[in-house]
Amino acid sequence: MISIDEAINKYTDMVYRLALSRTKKVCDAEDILQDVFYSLIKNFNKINDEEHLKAWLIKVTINKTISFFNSSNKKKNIALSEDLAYLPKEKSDVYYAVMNLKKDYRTVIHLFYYEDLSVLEISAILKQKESTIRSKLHRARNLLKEKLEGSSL
Amino acid sequence: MNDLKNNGFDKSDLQNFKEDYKAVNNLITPKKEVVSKIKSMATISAKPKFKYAWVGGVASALVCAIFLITIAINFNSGDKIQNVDKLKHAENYKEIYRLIDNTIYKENTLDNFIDNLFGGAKKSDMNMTDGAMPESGAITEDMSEDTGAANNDFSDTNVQVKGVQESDIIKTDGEYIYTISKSKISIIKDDKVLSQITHRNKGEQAFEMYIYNDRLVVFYRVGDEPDIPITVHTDISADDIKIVTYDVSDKSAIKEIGAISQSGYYISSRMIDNYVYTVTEFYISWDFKKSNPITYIPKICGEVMDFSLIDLLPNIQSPKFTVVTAFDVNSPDEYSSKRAFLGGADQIYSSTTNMYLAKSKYVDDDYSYNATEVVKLSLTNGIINVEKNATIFGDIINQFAMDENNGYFRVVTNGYFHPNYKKTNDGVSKYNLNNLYILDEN
Repeated sequence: MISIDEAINKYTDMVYRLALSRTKKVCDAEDILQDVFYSLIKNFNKINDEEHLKAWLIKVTINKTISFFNSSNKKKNIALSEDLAYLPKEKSDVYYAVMNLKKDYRTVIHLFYYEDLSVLEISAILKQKESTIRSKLHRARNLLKEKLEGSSL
Repeated sequence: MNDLKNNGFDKSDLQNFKEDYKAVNNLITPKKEVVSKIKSMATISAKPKFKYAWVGGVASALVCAIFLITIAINFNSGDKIQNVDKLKHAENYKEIYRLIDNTIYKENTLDNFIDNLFGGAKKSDMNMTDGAMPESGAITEDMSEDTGAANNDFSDTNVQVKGVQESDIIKTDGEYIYTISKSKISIIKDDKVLSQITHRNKGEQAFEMYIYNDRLVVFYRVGDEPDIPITVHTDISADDIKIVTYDVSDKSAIKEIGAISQSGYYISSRMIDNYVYTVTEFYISWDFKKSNPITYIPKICGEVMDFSLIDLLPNIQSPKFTVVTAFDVNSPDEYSSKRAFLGGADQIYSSTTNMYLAKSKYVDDDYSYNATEVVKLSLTNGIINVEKNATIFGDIINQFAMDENNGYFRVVTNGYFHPNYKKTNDGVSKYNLNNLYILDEN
């Protein structure tokens, strides 16, 4: 089992990227990031192994964003934070396209394509049926295609 | 929307999409400050949740203190006093490292961290002279300074022990008033500012001082947050403090005659005759490395302390050092003595000959209760020696709960037994006891 320090080094990026893909705002993602690791530090001894740790972090991140959306009037579809302007233009099209999807779609896309989780794993983390995840992925892909068709893809 | 029938992208597009999406995501990283904040959360020491309980209990404790029977227990025979673990010298850096390593992730309660972040309540009762009134009510501080006509009669900073000076933001020698305001030191006489010392360097902030004849000793906080106004003492995470001595014999031309520095943030200080004793607390940062003592040993004037100067408290619960130093205001370029204790200290009390460091801790065996480790240091002409240590039951409320008389150290503590603490975890005291301990030479 890794130490908490190693866990922080290893997973802050992951949690942050997921949080950002959910919240679309740098400052909110940072808040979530701190919240998640605060929980991790509190509960570290309860986590058995590293696989479990990763899944736990993803789950907690998603839960934190859910309560974050519930607790504020930020449910509206906000634009992606301007703080991300440093991303290279040619590649960020893809990212912006993903960010323009609905929250649920963003999340499955992120977990599937970025975290390389399988549909089964995603369904376990999100506590949704496999078929639900599959259809969400499918729809998200279609929407993405629509959006990206005009560009290079 | 015919696309709904096929899979959206074809395979190669999908592969491209995946690679691009990953590449962009890989460019996204959280800000360094945020990550280091998280790391410090993890590092912040394992103080028991219990800490809350005494803050809340202070008021009730004071009331109780009047009425409750005080139990005077001689140090040797007291059954609640553990006198087993003696203070010991560090033998090498490795031993220190091992202890830190053991402590640092033992408990990950963040309450203490949050405590520090938002209230700094823990330290507030340590700097009485800043106008933060002690709740004890036993001693009243008066900030008003008087530069009356009689030259040899003026009111100085109120202190706990006669002959032991405590630092303040305003001082007078009877004729001139010295103030620190917004990090600017002014010397004032009859409504006129005679001279001022402004910022030395960026990031250095003056916060307290002593005046001894024509020597002005000023404490600077050296940190990365230079613009925080100093109104009350908070736990601003300044890495170091710097002690600068000025020659103020010529009031219009102040000369700097010496500067020294030590690691940690300022806890308290005392001046006895011409010796200034400074106590700072040095938190070990999260990225300490075994091979490199520089990462976990406090520094004095930029040099890592020798391990022979470091003592290890028994049963260490916090990964921090308490650094105690002494210097002579007449030779302000060097310390006359320096010591460090692994384990930290919360409160200090100083008589003219001895200093006591108190560190509250949490004992978790059959019963969970809080206890205080007391370390006695002797101060003789700028030389600090470690004398004795003892563990007593309960927490010490503040520095005014400690006193020395005829070689006896008297201390009032306030403690709780929490037989069900582990189960309920609610922090509500089940049994509240106040004690008066009198510790003799042993």
